Amino acid sequence: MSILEVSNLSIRFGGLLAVDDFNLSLERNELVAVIGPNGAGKTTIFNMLTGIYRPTTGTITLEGENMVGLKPYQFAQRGITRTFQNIRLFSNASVADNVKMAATMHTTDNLAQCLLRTPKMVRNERALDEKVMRLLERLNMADKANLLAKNLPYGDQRRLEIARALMTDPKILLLDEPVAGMITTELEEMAQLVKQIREDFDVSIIMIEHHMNFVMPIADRIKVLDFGKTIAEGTPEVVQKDPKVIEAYLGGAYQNVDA
Amino acid sequence: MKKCLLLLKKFGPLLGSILFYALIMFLRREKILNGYYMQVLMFAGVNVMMTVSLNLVNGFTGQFCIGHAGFMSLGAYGSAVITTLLFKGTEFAAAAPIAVFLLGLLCGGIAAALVGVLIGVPSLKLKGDYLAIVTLAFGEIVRALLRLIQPIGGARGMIGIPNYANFGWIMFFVVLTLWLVRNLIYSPFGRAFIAIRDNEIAADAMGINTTRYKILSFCIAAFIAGVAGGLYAHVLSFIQPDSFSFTKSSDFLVYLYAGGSGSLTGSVIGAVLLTILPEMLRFLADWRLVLYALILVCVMLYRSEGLCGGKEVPFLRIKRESLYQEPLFGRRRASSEHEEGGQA
Amino acid sequence: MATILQYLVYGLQLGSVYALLALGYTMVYGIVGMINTAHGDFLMIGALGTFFIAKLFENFHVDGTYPMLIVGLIILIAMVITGGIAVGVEAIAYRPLRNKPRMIALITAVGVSMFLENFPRALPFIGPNPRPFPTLFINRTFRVLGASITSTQVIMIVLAALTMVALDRFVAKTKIGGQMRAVSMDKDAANLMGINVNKVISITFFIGGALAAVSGICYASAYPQVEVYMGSWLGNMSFVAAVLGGIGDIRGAMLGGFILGIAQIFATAINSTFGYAVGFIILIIILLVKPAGIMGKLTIEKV
Repeated sequence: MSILEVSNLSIRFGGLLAVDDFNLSLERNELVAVIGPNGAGKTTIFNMLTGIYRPTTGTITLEGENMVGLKPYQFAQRGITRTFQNIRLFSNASVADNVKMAATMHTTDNLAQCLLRTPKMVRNERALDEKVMRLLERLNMADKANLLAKNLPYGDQRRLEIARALMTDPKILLLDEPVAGMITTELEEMAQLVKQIREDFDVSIIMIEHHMNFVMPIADRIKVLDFGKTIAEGTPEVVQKDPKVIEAYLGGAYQNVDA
Repeated sequence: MKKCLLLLKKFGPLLGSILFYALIMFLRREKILNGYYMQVLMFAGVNVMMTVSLNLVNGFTGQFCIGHAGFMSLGAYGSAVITTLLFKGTEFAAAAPIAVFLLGLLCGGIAAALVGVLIGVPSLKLKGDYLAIVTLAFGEIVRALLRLIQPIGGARGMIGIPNYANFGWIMFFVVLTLWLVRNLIYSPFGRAFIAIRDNEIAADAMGINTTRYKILSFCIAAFIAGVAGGLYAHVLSFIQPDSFSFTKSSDFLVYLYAGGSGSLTGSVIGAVLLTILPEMLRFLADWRLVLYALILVCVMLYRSEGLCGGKEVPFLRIKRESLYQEPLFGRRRASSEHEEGGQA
Repeated sequence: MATILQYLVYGLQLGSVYALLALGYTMVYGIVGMINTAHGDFLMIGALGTFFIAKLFENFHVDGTYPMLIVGLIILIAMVITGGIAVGVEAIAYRPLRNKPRMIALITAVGVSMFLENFPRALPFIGPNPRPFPTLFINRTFRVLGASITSTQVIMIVLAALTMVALDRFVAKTKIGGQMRAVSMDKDAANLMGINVNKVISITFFIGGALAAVSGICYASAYPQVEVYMGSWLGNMSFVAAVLGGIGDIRGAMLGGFILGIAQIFATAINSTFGYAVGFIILIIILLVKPAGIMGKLTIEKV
């Protein structure tokens, strides 16, 4: 049974139909990539899947529960978390605190316990810190735990965004261009990381990405968007050979990369 | 030995406060500090509380409250109504003045906090400057209302409020406020506030109910401001609506940003220095506020991150590493038992 | 009926003061993005300046008033002086902070405001005491539908209206107006397009200061007293007016000013404290219904 069911999702901004009839049935632990040229509506789909935009029509169902109309924080609390294309870290907080902030919704301490800093609260804080450090270790960032997020190099900021999203214990992780602006060596690392996350955390992943040689080897399925419409769908091999896709998006570009 | 050091670190600030209190009391007894200086010091304490609470909203949660004197006035009037109108001259007040005083402060704080929620709920949908102007409007409306209510003196204000608050009480509440607010900031609540400040959209996307935490931040700040207002009323024993105008609110903003927002140390330094500075400049007569204004502008121009620039003295900060310190008393319990059911 | 008309005239009179001051607020906000709390003090400087300039022209004083030409000259000089001070304040105190968080500029503005109020107060020839403002305009009273309207009121309202129309045309039609709009949209892009951003901001402050001077003259002619603290309260009210209309929007500021002025006069007729608070009550109601003010457009952050 699929974990996320998206059907007939459309959104209209004024006269512009930004996303037209998007459908997706996401299996548990599956990795789906959404590709398409700039302005195809990819990030808009993410914004609808995380409650930032409310779709004009269509339904989003997570494990049988209707999600349309919920607030963004409720999407996160029910298990859909995302990273952002234009990095949105809590820049004046430390790396460890950035990750801890994403665990706010799991807090069991009430206000009085926090104000008085009771032994129980300190114990919970320590447990949280240990959990955060384990997560950071997996992402090779443990040594940077006390740095401010804004002082991290670019690649680390992207990884911190992923760490932060994982801290919410998501069922579905949405990665919005995780390797945008990264250099080739970092691409390989990130591909490894995404694979590892998928195995270790038992999450389903939807990913927006431009880099074909990053997407092709790790995605189970690819959906290709153009002007808000889904023009092709299938395994990387199938999509790669689809003439519509080659015309609309890949063109000569992918063949260049491939060569 | 190590334990001794830890003990000192933990209770040092408390010890320091007690020593400071003793010093001031000694100076007072030796007549080096007269009653006027004592009053200035007490106002400095009240201002520290006001600035710290404003810091919670503006500095840590990233909202703009520019009508903070409104909450202060609610606390001042709320507590004065209890101590002066309800209990003054009663046998109970004669027998247990402290109880009446504390009850007054509590009621003042609660009144301010309730109104904080009341205005917070609709207005926190507004962002940035629009929220700021609503808080300003709120402060002025409260002032207008207080002027209209005759039983509490109308525009003339309330006189004859018992001066229960002495320097010791002020010290006590300042230290308590700092301790509580520090604990709050280094807790899941404080982290949620800071997340909202740094990136509201990301905070929302990470499952933080931003509206709820913003209201909470307002509410806590209003409570502290209310208690500070109550103390103010019982230092001065006279309050009037016009003491809590926008000018007063902007004083607190000045203390906050001149000291450095987002830092408790900054709030303390800003409030104490800038409360005492105008008094020290009194010999300049009419030129006093001119110089004060010049100093303020220069501080903002040449040190716009504030006097202490977001830095925090050790005991107003809780480091990550301190979570792993051996507790002073008893054995350290395995931390994982709670969170993950003894998995580790 | 007559009373209502009478109040309406008073309301328009006060509203024109607010509107003129709110224009400066809104222009500075629109272009620099800061709340210049010292703006009300420009009004005081304008009024106080007029007081002293009028003294210089005492020789032309006839029949308790001045010839039209001299009045025009006095107003012009006051506008230039106030505008110049506003430009100076921006260059010294605000310009270095342009890229800092906005609250920093706000606090600096509080300091500037304190300075502008207390410096003249400390000067021996000005001091804290209120002074009677000279009569600049011919004072005749007309009776219209039972309400009495003075020529000063008519001149004030007309003057304010003309200034506003001129400003609106200026921003919409002239080259500098276009540059102002460009800077308000994106300072960096405007700079790259060869617009001298500093110059545009200076001009904005000059216009704001000059309008504040006109507004100060209007106010002091209606309530003929000048003192150093007169600007702070009027400044706050006109800020409310600017937000009411949608801060950053010129027509919104005018609308907000008149709404506020009229509402305040009518509410004051009921109770003076209520008259003071009514502006804030209207503000809260309007912001809850339209979170960016009457004419303002809400900007949505792109995710």
